[in-house]
Amino acid sequence: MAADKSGSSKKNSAGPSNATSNNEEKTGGQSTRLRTDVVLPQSKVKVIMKSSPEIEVIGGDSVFLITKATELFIDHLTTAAYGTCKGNKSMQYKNLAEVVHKHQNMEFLRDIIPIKIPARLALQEMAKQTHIDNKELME
Amino acid sequence: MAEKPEELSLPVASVSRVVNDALPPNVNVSQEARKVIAKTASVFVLYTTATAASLASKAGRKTMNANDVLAALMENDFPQFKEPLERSLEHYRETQKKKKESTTARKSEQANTSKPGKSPSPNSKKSPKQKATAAEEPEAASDSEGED
Repeated sequence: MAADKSGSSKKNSAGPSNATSNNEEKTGGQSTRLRTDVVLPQSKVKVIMKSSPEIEVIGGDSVFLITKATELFIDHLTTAAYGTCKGNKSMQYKNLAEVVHKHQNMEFLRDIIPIKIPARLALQEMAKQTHIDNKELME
Repeated sequence: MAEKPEELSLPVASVSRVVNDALPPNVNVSQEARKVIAKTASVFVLYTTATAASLASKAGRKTMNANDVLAALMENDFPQFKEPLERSLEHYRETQKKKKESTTARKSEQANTSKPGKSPSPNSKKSPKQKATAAEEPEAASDSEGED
């Protein structure tokens, strides 16, 4: 029952007052891992699932299960990225990229979140690469 | 596929709620980071779906079920999700069952009220007799059950 209550309170607190409501929820001890309801729209998840060419028929519970798994995944990724902030109270793209490139089970995201590097370094890298290629051709 | 790319990504607003739940209060998350998290979530959906679908087809089924999803997460190296997911699934199934029961109850209620109800007085007169016969019968009833 407690989970239901927190779910309804969260629905009410959607919007710009997220930071303060989040504070209240934390004291209530309700994280994504403990809740049994979902926040993400299941209809949207189903549309994404159906866009996959491999799929034929989606069973009843699987949409709910994937929605919940996605929430757990967001929770996992965010917590891990916050761990790389090192006391800095702000999360940036680079924190996410670092996590994705460090964890083996997030390999599938590496093309989607490439590590950004300054253009100067990228050009140096490219120059080095062409140098090596040329050397190989010479040999 | 016919869908536009923006239709295939989860709404940033609801993803942000999950993000805020995961973080301690007063942590700033840049707009770019929020967008990227929403994108990764969509990719995660596709990735898990593809793995689960291939597991189902390997087992010779066309329909992807809950076990396929759980097995897909294990295969994709997210074993820590299994336990909370099983708990959520149990809760979800219970609520779905309750919903079903309440709708069927409502339907049967409507059917009952539409029919002319029997007057309760003859039943109440009979009830003491029924009780007496019921008290005598249980042995016989249990015997017949054993035979079945």
